[in-house]
Amino acid sequence: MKTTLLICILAALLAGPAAAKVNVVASTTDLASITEAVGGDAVSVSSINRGGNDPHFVEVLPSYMVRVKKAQVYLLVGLDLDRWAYPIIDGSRNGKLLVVDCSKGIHPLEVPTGKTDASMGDVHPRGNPHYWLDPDNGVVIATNVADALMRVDSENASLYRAGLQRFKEQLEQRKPQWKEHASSLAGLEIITFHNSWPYFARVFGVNVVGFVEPLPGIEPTPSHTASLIEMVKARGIHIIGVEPYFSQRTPATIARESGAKVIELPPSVGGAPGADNYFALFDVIIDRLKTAPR
Amino acid sequence: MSHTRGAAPLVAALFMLTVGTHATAQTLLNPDLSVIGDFRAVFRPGNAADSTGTNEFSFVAEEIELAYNGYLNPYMRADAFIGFHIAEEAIDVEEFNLTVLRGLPLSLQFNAGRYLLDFGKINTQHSHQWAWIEFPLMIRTMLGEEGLRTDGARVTTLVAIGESALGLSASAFSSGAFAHEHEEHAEEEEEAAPEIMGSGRVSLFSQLSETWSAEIGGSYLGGTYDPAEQLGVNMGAIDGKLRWRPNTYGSFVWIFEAMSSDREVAEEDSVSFTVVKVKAKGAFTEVQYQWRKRWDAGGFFDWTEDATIEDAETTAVGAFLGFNPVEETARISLVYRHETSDLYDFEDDSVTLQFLWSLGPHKAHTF
Repeated sequence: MKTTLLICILAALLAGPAAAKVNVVASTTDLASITEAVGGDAVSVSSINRGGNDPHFVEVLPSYMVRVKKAQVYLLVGLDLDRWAYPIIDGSRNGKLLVVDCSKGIHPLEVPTGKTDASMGDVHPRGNPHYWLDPDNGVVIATNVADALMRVDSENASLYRAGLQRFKEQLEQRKPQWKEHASSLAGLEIITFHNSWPYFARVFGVNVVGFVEPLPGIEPTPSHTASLIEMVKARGIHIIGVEPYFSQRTPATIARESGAKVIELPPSVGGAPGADNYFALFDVIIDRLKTAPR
Repeated sequence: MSHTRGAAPLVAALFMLTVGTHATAQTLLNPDLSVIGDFRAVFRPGNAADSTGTNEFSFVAEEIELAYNGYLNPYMRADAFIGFHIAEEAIDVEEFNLTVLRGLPLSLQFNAGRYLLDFGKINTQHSHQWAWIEFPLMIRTMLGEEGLRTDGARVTTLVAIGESALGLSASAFSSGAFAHEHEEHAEEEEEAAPEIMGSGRVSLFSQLSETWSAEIGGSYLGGTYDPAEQLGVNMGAIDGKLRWRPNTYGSFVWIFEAMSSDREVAEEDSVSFTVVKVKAKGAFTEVQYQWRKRWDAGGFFDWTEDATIEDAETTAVGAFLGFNPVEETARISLVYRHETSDLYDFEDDSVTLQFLWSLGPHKAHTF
């Protein structure tokens, strides 16, 4: 009996602990969702910014640092969107952390030319950073994520390759469905609060003709709002899309004066009910644009 | 002398090697450069102007701060902050330090140079982070008119307790900077070599829910602060911060901090020299509410006993309204402050309109 017990204990010790998951922290819920899709049960993922909050501004908290301290991989959006992540990474004291810029390999839109400074608003010198809103860029992100997971967990490389392949196939399957569902949006003119949508607009043919912000990151001014009202009336625009973290006061004024309607458009996973993962995010955005009153 | 001559070629070779190695990197990878300006318009009603010896209305070019920050290599960064105090026509090296960020055991970070001593929470912050503008009274009397920046070395670590963060730090620093930043004291202190003082801080940060978070801290500081007269000091501080942030642009923050000081003070006259112990306490609390992206308001209470004179108290209360026109690049604050002191027998009422601006990347601050 004693011998059997000893053998059991030895066997348990030799077997070692159950395979640990790769701990990944992402700046945003979008990167976290793609990582979940690629890594499956082999990864444990969390996001610093919540889906309904502005990814440009995140307060640096010690609890984020301890979360990153325990992580093996940190996923940055890049293109200067999440500069707030650097003090979190430094504060984590994690010398083994693999920091991955998920914008590697994408073709940024709206890269400013000539002199770039703050007189142009909160402009991003390396291009518009809302690139995850193009499904093709989702593949680029997933490839970067899979590469990172294979580097830190080479034993499960085949699993991550399979996860990446599965993600690509799902996207390829969903893209025509989205395009078909969004076919009536082609040529649709809208205005949005912030310039978050150039990638989405390019893919689905939506025409963003103006912004509630006079310049990126700059609060609405009365003169700009007045000119927007005139433009909305003149062009017969029906939709004012507002990201969930911006005030709806000025958009509501424009809507009241012009007859357009304000709809909340979530640019990130978790930014609206139903937008629970990267695929569902596109479903929700397209659905909201399609069902907006005209 | 012969030793110096012998070492000179080696030093020169090392210097050339260093310059030669880093010239390209320094050219390609410039540090972050920031300029922070603080300009104020101050109004004091007649009585307050008389009792404080100031004009009823004045413009004050308070400070220009230059910040140079950057990584030296994957493991280290360097930070330098130089303050130009325009009204006083003085230049002040506020901070310059080297930090080893990663690669040390026990998740340690090592910091050497001149830095804001982490005694209490407020002293670790740059004043442009504060809506209430002025240094709290207890810091001015117990640590120095502009807080305590020390020349020394510090180790810090961060321990995960579940989702909470336990911060620990220990500093050893020169007594030279302690409490006296005025030139007359500095001259006196030159007579005796500075001694090494010590301090430590423990803090616990917890995310109470998705929107609520809290931090509490305790600090100790002690040693011989006046080597010439062999005068010692022992100080303690507790601090706390409670924050509610339901979204990016809305928050409520309550902070409090209390300090105690037990300091030996020399009392001299023409025939005798005696050392007396002065015990002092102080407290500061503030609430701040941000209800829109650009607007916030709040109030503060500030009280202290003098750290060097017994039975002398100063109290201040105030309120502020803050407007951030465009993100974190500028802030306009309107601050009312009422201050009474039984030490100087004055009542001071002031209304300050502060224009604070930040050019460059020095904006992101930790909790």
